Amino acid sequence: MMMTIVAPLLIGFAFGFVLQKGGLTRYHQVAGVFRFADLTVLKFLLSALVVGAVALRVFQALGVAGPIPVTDSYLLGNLVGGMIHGVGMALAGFCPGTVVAGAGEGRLDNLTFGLAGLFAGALAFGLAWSGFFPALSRVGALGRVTVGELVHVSPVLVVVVFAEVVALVLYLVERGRVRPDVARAGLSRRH
Amino acid sequence: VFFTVVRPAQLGWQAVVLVGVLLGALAASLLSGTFRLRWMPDAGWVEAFGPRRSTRWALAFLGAFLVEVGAGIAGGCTSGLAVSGGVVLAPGAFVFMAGMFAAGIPTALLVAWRARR
Repeated sequence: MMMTIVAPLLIGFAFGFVLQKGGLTRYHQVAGVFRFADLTVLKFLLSALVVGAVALRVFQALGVAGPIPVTDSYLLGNLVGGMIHGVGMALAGFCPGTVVAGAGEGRLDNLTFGLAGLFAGALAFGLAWSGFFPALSRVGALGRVTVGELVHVSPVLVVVVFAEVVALVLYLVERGRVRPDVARAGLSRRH
Repeated sequence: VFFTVVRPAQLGWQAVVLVGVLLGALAASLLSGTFRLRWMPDAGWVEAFGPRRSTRWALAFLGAFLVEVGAGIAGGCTSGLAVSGGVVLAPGAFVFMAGMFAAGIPTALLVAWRARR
């Protein structure tokens, strides 16, 4: 009960809450990141990455977290999937998580056609799976490795360098690139 | 094969997370007074695709279809692979993000180019 209902519900609730508060449920902010007209998504993503990466290592060092399950990497599939995902995200202005969060703040287009599209996509992927996926996932299959293991560098060093680079990018973004007028106007500034 | 062997159809904890996401966004928008039933995005859409609702509905369906297929192939979405894989520094997560922007940028530029005409 706790692990199958309560915990996922609370995690989802917190996630949906911050997605809505962060403005990640809005078309112009999600689509705008791909023209670098609105960097909300980029800042959200990079902040989540660096905080998560550091926190995981700290928790592990403190003995609070157990071994971290590493995500499976199969580079061609990751790349091709990422590209298809990117086209859909730039067109509709949402991804599989934010389409649901958008529905929660009253977006009926997400709730009806968006969710229907998700189910249709999952169905299509599942039906076509055996035809292409086993072969695709063997190309560039690295397995469950981290960047550090791949280049034989200490994971702590990778996390520190990664955090510094992301912090620098976020700093530069905040100092020079963000223009709230453009962010608010979205595409309309073109006129 | 996929639905019977690889991932049997069942309502697991992932579906419960999505219910939580919906409720979380509902609570956040009610608290900040931004909850509103609507059929169209608030900004940027009409300039790019025109005021017709049917256009939005078709592209919402198509976009959702593409993000889900892409997430299926890649092994996760923005949160499920880019963030979850990124925090453990899995190389696939960074390749996914590169692909996402490599295809998302030309798509968005094409949309903006259409909007200007």
